[in-house]
Amino acid sequence: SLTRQPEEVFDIICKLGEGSYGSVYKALHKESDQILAIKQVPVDTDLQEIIKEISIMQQCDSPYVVKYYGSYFKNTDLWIVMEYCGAGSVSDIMRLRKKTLTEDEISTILSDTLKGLEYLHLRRKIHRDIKAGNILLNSEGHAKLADFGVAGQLTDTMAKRNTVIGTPFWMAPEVIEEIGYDCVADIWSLGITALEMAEGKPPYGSIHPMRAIFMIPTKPPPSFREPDRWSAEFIDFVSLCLVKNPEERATATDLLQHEFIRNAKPNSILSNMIAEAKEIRENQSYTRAAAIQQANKQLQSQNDDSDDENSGTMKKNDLDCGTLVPSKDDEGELTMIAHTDCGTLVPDNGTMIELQSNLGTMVINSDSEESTMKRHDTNPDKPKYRPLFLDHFDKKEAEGNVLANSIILHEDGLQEVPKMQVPAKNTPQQIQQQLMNAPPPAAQTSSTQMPEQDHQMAKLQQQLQQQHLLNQAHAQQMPIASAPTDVSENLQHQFQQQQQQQQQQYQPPENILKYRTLDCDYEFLKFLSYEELEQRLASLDKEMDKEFEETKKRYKAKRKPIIEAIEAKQQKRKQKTEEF
Amino acid sequence: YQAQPTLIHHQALVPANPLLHVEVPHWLKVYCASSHEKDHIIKWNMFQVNQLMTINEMITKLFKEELHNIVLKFESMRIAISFEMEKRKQQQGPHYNN
Ligand SMILES: Nc1ncnc2c1ncn2[C@@H]1O[C@H](COP(=O)(O)OP(=O)(O)OP(=O)(O)O)[C@@H](O)[C@H]1O
Ligand SMILES: [Mg+2]
Repeated sequence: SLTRQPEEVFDIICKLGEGSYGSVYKALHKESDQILAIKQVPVDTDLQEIIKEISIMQQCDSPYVVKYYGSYFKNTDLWIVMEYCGAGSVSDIMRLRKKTLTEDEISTILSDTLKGLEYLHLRRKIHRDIKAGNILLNSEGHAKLADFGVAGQLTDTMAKRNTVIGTPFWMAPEVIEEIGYDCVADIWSLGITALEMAEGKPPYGSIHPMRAIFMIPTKPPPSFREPDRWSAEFIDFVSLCLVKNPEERATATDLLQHEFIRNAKPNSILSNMIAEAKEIRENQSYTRAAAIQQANKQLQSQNDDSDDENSGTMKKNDLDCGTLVPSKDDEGELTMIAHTDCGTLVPDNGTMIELQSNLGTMVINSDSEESTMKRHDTNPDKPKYRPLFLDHFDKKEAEGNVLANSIILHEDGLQEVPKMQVPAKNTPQQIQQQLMNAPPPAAQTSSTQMPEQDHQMAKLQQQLQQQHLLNQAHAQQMPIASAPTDVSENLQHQFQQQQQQQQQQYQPPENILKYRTLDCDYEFLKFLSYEELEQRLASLDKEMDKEFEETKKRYKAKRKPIIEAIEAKQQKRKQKTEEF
Repeated sequence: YQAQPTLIHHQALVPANPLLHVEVPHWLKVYCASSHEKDHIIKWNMFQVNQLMTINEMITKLFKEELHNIVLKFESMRIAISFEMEKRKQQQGPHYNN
């Protein structure tokens, strides 16, 4: 299929959207006059991943799974040609209409989705990224599973892939815990997707992704926020999906027999919804160009350092067919958000930060220059509301970006490391004690987070306790080196010396000191005003992100020489085999 | 205190992280926690490729543990602040009392 240049074979019509690997375009297959979707992936990302994606899609032939037709290499891009689904994803439709789905609509969509999942699971394939954004609808209202961006072919080689992948809010607890998982991990995600379709976003969808990662395995399975609004069958269906123990969770085949699915209405009931979304999309395409320009102007006035590349010049190919859709919050054209599934990417609390980052994304969408994105990404003052965890859990290490001034943060897991000159840190047990001594929440409260506190408390205590035991275990155990012992012992000494030296020299920066104090000593809270407490609470995520970022940078730098050593050795080995 | 049931699915399609219950060597923890000035002391090329790969995966494990601890720390802070706020409300307005 790779003999002819793709542009001879296809006409690109417009852009459909953007994902984590690349952009998706609507295209015309000239020979057959057929409309197709083409995903263009810059190959420097992760070729292995993409090749896997293609091979999985290629093997699938089901009306409930998006069909894959072929692929091309074009310069540095890989073009993946697939079936076009005219109505877009279920999350697109929700965002366009600013409406959640009815129970009937949900059951019809879930019925197709389950058939797709049954198809995959019988072939021992896990989709791994089930969510409304990856369920596409064609113009007839047939739902198809799309986006095997992270799906894995299930062979023994899978043993190597152990990083947490996928989108956290939809992730099954066993996936997060890395204890091994099976096809039923998709069923958990399906249950979350059902809640997403009913309520507009997945449970924990508006909290920081890293907090969600913490909550999902520790808390009981989520359920409907307003159970009264839903039928017993629907509630039962979701509860069968959201069973924490994967061994007790229903399979796709089981669920196809569930009353809620057996009573599903024909796909024609979706045509209203699809037509409505289509109309909105078309209306928007008229005003889009203007909106983009407006947004660019806004962005320019926000960023004094921005240059002329933002002036909203659009290439023909970038004229999109609905990339920009209105966000859930009504804030005029400024909230036009890029289509990269903002429910996933941006905690949707309608802050200015979110707005800015959305604008940033939008400019990237409409602007072929990369400079906007780079500036956006490297500007340290601008709070990032991109999904940091995605980067955090990413093994791929981008080059460069050396940490300017390194900061030592001794975290709980590293307590045997000599301490810096900072206020003594409380042990987890002390935290627990303090938390226990704190007054219990009022039985009835108008405050936002309180109803959950009791439970959260118990779980947190458990976690802290576990952490404590873990730390103790760490401290008692001597290193079991998987490296040559003489080398590692030597290193240990060197590093201990180094640590001691640093301990004497090191003056922690102001903000770190603050964090230290914040750590576990809650006494100071007593001296804050109510407003100050509110502010603290509101800025926690931002502060947490800062720490994530620092940690991430440190680990990137630490990993670098090791990766380089691996590459150098592999290079050498390759040269040797070539010689002989 | 009840531990989370840690089900390990040996026959799972995607097996458990093999490092899940493996203790990371102390020196590697120290390496990861320290600043960079003396990183060059380690001659990584003295290790074999598969050792380096294991080390790399262990670094990922440490990294995730650290992220988790950060979340934990902020979570307890969040709860402490919420409790403090709740306490104020109860003190201020008697109508908040049960
Ligand atoms: N076959 C298709 N037909 C019609 N629209 C499509 C098709 N594939 C993708 N799209 C649109 O393009 C968007 C981007 O898709 P893509 O799979 O690249 O990323 P994503 O699903 O948004 O994110 P991720 O890569 O993280 O899964 C989708 O949300 C959808 O609206
Ligand atoms: Mg997708």
